[in-house]
Amino acid sequence: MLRTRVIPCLLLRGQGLYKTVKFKDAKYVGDPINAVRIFNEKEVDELLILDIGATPENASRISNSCVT
Amino acid sequence: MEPTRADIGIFDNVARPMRFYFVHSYYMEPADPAISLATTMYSHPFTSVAGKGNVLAMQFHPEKSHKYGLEIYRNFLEHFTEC
Repeated sequence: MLRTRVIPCLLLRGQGLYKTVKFKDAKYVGDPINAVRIFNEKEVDELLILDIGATPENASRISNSCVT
Repeated sequence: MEPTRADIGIFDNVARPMRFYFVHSYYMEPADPAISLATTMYSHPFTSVAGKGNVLAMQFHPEKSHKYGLEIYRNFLEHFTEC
């Protein structure tokens, strides 16, 4: 039986989770750890975490904080 | 996925109905049907888990299969190794 693969995308800037519309007007939506916990309870297949605060000058250090 | 050999122990305590993360749709037909431990339905039933002794082969990715895959790893350690 084929199931739909669900992969939520979490946009991270600093310590917070944000939501954008057409990549603009970022609105704060909450704590990323909490979002991860909720999606984990819903048994999503993968989680895509994007650091929208990273720039070429200031590269993302998201991988260091993911180890939990 | 349906186990054909439920006594093997690798599926103990795995929540039903079991579901796993398949990346491809390839499968192999065992020459010896006794090594087919589980089948999955995808247009027709195919062997998704094969094994003999402490060698197990799975077409899906247990590490991407949430609590179902985690339990498989736990069962493997408890029932198939000296740990």
